[in-house]
Amino acid sequence: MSAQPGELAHARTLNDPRIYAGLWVMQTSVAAAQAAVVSAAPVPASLFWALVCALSLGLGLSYRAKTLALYSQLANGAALIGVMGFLTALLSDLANALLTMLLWLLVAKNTTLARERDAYFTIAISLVVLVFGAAESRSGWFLLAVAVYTLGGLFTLALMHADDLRHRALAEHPRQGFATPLPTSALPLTLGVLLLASVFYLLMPTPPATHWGSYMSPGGQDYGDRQWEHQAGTGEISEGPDTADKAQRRSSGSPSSDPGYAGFSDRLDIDKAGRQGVANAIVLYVQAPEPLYLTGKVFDTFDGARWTTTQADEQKIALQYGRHRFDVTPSADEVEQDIEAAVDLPPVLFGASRVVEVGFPGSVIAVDRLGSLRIPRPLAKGTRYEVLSRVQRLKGRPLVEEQILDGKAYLQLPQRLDPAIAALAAEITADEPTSLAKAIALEQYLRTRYQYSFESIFTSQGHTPLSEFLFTTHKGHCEYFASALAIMLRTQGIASRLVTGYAATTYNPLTGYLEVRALDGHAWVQAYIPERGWVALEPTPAYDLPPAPQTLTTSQRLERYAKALVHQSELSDENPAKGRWLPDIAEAFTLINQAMAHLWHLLTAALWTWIAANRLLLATLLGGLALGIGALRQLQRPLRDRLAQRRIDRARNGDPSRLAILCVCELQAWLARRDLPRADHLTLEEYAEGLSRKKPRFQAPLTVLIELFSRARYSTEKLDPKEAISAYEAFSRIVSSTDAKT
Amino acid sequence: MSPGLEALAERWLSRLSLGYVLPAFAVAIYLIAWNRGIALLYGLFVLLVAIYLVGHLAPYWNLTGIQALRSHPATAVEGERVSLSIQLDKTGWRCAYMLSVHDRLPFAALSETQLLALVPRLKDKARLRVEVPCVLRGEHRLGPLQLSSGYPLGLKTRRRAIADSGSRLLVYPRAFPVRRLPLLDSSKVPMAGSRAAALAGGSDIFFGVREYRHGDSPRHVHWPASARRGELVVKELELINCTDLLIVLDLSRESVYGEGLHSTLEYAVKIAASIADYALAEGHGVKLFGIGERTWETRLGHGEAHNRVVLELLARVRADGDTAYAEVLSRALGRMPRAGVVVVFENDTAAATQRLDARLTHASRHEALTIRFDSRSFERGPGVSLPRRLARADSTYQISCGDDLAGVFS
Repeated sequence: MSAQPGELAHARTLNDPRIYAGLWVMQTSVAAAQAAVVSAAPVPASLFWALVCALSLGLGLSYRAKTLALYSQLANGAALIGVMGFLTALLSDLANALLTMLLWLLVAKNTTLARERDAYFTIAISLVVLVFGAAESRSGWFLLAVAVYTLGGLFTLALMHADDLRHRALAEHPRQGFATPLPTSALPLTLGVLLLASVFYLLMPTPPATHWGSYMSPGGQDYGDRQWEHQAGTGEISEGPDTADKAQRRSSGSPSSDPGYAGFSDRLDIDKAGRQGVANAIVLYVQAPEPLYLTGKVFDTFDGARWTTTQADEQKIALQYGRHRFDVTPSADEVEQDIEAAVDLPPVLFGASRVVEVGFPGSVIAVDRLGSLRIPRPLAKGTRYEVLSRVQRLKGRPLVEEQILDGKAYLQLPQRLDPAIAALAAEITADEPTSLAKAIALEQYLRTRYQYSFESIFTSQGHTPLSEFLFTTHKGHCEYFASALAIMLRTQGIASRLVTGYAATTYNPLTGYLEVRALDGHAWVQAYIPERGWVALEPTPAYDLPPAPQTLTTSQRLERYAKALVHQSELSDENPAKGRWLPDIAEAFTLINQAMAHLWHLLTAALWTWIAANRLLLATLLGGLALGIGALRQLQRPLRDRLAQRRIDRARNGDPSRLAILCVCELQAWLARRDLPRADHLTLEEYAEGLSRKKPRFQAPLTVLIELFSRARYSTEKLDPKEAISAYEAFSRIVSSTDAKT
Repeated sequence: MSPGLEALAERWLSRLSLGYVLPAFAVAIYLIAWNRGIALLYGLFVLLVAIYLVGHLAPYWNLTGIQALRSHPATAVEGERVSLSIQLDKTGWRCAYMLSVHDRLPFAALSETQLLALVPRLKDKARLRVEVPCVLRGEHRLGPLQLSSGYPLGLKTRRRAIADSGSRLLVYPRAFPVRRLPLLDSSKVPMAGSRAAALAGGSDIFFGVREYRHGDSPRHVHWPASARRGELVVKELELINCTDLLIVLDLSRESVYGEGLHSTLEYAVKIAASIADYALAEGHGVKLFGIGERTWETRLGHGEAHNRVVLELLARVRADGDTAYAEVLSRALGRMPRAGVVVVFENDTAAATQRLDARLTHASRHEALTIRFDSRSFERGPGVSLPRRLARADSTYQISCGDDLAGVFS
């Protein structure tokens, strides 16, 4: 109903105090969810907001009865706190500042919440806050907050609807009392809604993200550097990082800032890269359309225990509006990655090889000749940046298309290399015809005959770590596997290099992010295949190269995620009992998916086999079905007429009142089959009147029937048998004349 | 903000409802989710879609398995409250929530279906009792009964009409007390044969016996004679002063002034009912006549039973005819067996008065009791009512719209 001039829309006063309880549940769940996402102390923050919302809603409840100026003043005070909070939080993060202001506006509105429009306003604000939280949350536990919010929302809206109905009923019947019961159906209703939403979510296709607009964030860090900017401006190429940079790298590579993997400094000692006792926290959140290996650092020189790079010359690049494109040639193989640092990380920009474009909230970056990207400061927690990479494949393996002119650096061997390593490599690759085949053979040899372990290898006198690994211990961490493969490839004349970075292969289907953890810090190998480029090899048995993009159902994704968590739990040295339920979950999903796939396969296979074997029978059946449907349509009316007549005949010897009622009901159905239906809004008398106009001979029997029906249905008198006979005769007269040609 | 802008904003806000806001939010969230590729936002989108769907489908589900039956007295009197009893029966294990019961009650002067009751929760059975004032006399068709539900969110309200829930109610006009009427005093009534009737304060000179007729007072049954004869006989006590009263209604469309309860027709019906009630109680005979689309006529009858017949006819009459009142009057007079009192209704237009005077002069056997309506007052509507005195010696009552009829006829 449109508001009249001077009237306020939705201005009805809320009469049911339970609405305030529902609003409190909604607001508290949203505030708690938001606190979990952005606050450093989520529990105290949640309790704080729960208390503030309760107090403000309590004030709103009493505001209905007494509209004092005090409440408006309190509302203004809350709004002012919101503005101050916004200005304060603006120093760190615009999004957080807006959120703070929204929550305080919510509190301000609560204190004067008396009308329907006020409640809708607070619900709208809480929904906006929830959307914001969903966009920022990286944890599947956010869904619990959504479930509680839904319960509170349905409870509140159901009560508001009931309150509105009651208000309208009282307006028409002021003397009657209408109570509105507690909507106990809110809980089953919520479960039903969540179930329906889950089904939709599982079935709904999600299109590729468009990523309009930029979502970079510096995470509170200033990434400017005057010296770098100067070097970028002059085009100067530094021969490796300067002293200050090196000092910074060393400090940033120290355990205090390194979340568990020390492979991103300018050297990699393979016997010091163990991860025992490392907490397996999430270090990066990646949004990408497929799993990827994110490159951090590339090494080309190995001295038997340490990897370094001879091509550390860096070029500083000034970013134009935060962006730089390395390769202007467009390609269909470009993959966009949005990366957010979850912890403080070394000053490296991670991205899948080969990076063609970078978007970073800073003014300058550095790139070396091997394509490693560096920034002037350590990557701060909360920093968000974008990388566009050209990802191609060779036999399903990631491939970096590049032609190298001088591969000497990539064929370098350590001075005191154990000749047994070369002999082993030669033996493994003896029967392989091509470089790629040799590389794959070496990779598979290591994957199948050696064991993954976090322990470092203590070299015995006179033996190098690699020799110990290959010929004595037969186990080690990924740096050993990668180093062994790289050196073995080089002994066979295949250029290779070691790459460190993160394996972003664990996709969380609840949040849509690839979760990169500390133990995903990894080393792998790239082998150069002439005419093609650098193909990735994964010699470590505990890891798999990221597969090509696949179309998976959400259920399959959930299964993979559960299995990945199990794998992480096994790799981690944390309390083994912590994730003991994970294998069961993963197993359950596996069984469900296998059962569904198997059933589908059985059904389709059986169906096709049967169809192929019984083509003639099937054609006959289909033809018969078509004929049958046609015949049924023709015979339907006579059949139904016959059944109706039988029912009437059987009722003739029973209760006369029942017969009269049955005659009228069957007559209506009879006439409806002859395109003379009774419209819902017509009374029987009006229907009879209309029929009598069309068919005057119906008038007399209809009058009799309707009179008897009314007495049988609405009166306390019973009909006598003579009247039942009259009803039957009237019915028969009408029925027989409907089919007679007029 | 200027008042005009504010009013415009309020008008637009009033058009906003949950049914529009929810899909709008869902679309916005979907666009954000699509842009950012965030799974949780897709989850919020499907949640809003699910809520929207449930909000639209739940009312259909809420109304299934419910039957309703309405019962009420067959007749009522204008101005009384009619008690409607509605029984709701729910089959199945589910409860139904927030049901509204609507009904079409034309006797309550409402053209649209009206909300009768609100049932917050229906498990198996519910019986509702609602009292509705009878405003309009007539033969009314009630129903159909409708149930509506917008449960749980009010996003969509579904209505379902209950089959075969129509019924009829006959509302009689309300008669007002008439203390006396000229021309019905016994001294002025011609001796018109003998008939046994009850007359308050009458003497009881025995005259004879005759067989009992419908309408005779039980006080005059001659029990010994009845026992001997084996059938009821009554005493003819005296020559009672009784009069035949003919009430002629003007049911022509064009002669009705005013609307609804304050039309000349409704006033005429009330006056006719009251006069008939008074006359029959006094022992006189009453006949009613009028020509609308059909002819409305009662026989000349006596007693309480005939009063009900008169009331039933008066409950049903409508001004839907084209016959001139003079013609109606002429036919009515021709149906009277003997001279009596004729009650005529006329409007105070000069032409109408002249015609009636001519007819009545010609048929001078009858005495006329004229009810004259001030047509202009009926066109204007109800105003201040003043008691009227007899305007002329020949028993004419001047009636204006809004008059207290009981006061006029006292």
